Amino acid sequence: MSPTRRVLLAGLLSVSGLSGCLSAENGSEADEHSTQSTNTAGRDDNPTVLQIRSSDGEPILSETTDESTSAVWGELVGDRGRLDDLNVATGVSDEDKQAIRTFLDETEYATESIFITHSNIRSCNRFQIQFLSWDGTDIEYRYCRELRPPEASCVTDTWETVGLLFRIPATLPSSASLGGSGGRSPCQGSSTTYDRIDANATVAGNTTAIETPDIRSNSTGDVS
Amino acid sequence: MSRRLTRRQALAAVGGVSLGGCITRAPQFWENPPSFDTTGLDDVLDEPIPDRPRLAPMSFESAVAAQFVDRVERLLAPIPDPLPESRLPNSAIRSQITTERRAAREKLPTRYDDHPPFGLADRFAEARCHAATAVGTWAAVTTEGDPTAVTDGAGTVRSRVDQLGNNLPGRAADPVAGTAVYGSIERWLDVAERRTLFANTSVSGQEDPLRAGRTVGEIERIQSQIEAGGYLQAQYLEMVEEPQPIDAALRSGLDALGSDVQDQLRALHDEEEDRLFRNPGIEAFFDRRPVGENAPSIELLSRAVRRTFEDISFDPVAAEGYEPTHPATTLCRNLLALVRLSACDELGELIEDGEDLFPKDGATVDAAREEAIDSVSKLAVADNPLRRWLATQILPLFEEPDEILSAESPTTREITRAYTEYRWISLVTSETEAVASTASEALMS
Repeated sequence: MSPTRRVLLAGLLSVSGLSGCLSAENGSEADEHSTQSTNTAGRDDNPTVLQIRSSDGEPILSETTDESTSAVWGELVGDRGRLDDLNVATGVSDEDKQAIRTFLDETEYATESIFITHSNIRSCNRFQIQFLSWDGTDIEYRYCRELRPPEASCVTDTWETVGLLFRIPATLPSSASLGGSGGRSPCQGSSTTYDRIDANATVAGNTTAIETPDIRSNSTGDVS
Repeated sequence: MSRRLTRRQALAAVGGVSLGGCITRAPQFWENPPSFDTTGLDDVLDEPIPDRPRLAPMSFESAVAAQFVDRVERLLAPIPDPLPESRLPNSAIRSQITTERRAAREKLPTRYDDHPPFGLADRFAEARCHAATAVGTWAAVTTEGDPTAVTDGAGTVRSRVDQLGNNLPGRAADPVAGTAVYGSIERWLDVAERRTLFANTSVSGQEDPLRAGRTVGEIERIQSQIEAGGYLQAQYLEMVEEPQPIDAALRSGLDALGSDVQDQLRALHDEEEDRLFRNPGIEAFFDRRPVGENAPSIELLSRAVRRTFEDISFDPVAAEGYEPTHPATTLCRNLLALVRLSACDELGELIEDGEDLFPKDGATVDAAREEAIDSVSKLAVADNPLRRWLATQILPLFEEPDEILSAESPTTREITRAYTEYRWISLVTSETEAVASTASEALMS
């Protein structure tokens, strides 16, 4: 990925993080990128991935043909021409629509592919993608789940569909598909900064209610 | 005991017959349950459950109780009230703060003299835990807040636990009274050491605010218990005229009860089990089962055995050469284990007699609750402090069935579950006298 595009993407990620939970923690620094890849197999320990939430439980992209419109739950996009057929779904915010378009447009399809997949997650949680691997037509990724930042608008105990757009630094066949995914919760270690609300929380006074009595009972039971 | 030793043999024999012939599915009680008449169910919750008894005639002074309340108010003060979505959009974080704040206030007593001292201490600990969870969570999401500054660190609190534990059990009016009083204080320390302070209790700046808040709350709970424990020990010693050491008596009591518990566990495992604290299964409590596979009595026994062995596994039980760190609470937990094992045995006998524990109507449920209340009421005013301590352990058992029956339209199966829980309360209570007498005799010998 060119530095210019990374800078642009990082900007988008920070802007869209509130509503679309773009994974700013992943892939924002080229020197942290650990990728091992051949033409057909590889692994990226810090993959570039765009995460977009869909409020209506539907996938974030759909495909329009002459006859009909159908949802796109999972697909490998290896050709810029394919973008003409893909539309961002109505349940996606305008801000996130722009992020998706930018992300897709800026992919170098001569050397890269986009892998689209979806997963469900609680509204107040988000995925941290730990690695992505591909081997032939099998694509796998690992994740952990963590709490979203305080300013993320979410609803406890509701579930949302998240579209995951991985940018893979390899040209894979269009038959490539999700071979597996797995994860854990919560994440062990997080780069998320949670102390963001401008306020104080200092508790006045002692950390105790009373002083603990010094109990040293002697033979008569007196308390000293 | 010898009767139990034959149970597995009898079951094994029955199993042999089954294997030799056709294996048929046992009848399922709830596939074709008897009819239930709801008549008499309307007023079932009218009678209040008994108050928690006093273990010793001491009290929280009002000024001291007010300081505990003040700590809760100080903890809650920094949190904006109300806390709107516009201020904190993340609903999971906002919900934990507001729910815990509400729970803290609900736990605060309006009158201090309405509660016995240990009941009040428990309420203060709960309230402080909820309040510290709320403000710890808030501190974790604010720029100037610091969750580690809300309460003292786990290391400091652990030192205080050790310090108080070194003074326990203290002197007492007599070993029985001392066991009840110090057993209650030691229980706080024992649970804190083996559950909360055993785990990772650090609160780091990068930690998930929900977890950071809960950790702060749990540490505050222990801090509250330490303060209340030290205070109540001092109050108790002030009211005792000639306090006596009780260490030797506790040793005798532990030897006697530990031996009884060990014998019971061995018998339940047919002397074959290496791990005595493992759940032996409900079949260890009856020889034959002339009731349906999932009859209410079977389901009750299954729950009772599971709960009993969950606690036996966690609690300090003076079997197999266990050397207790906290002897008074170890004796109390052995007492409770024996009572529950005996009640399971009684329930097994009811099952052998064909008792399915299905109530035919609402009046039967009402009568079972009344009987349970009567039995616990008598326990709560017993002269023996160990029986009063047992009442403090049995009283919370009313919560689940009462909640079931307070629902708008519970199902017959739910009503039956509530009924069996009331019967269980009566069963457990009926076993307390013999077990507490055995313990008292051992302590006073």
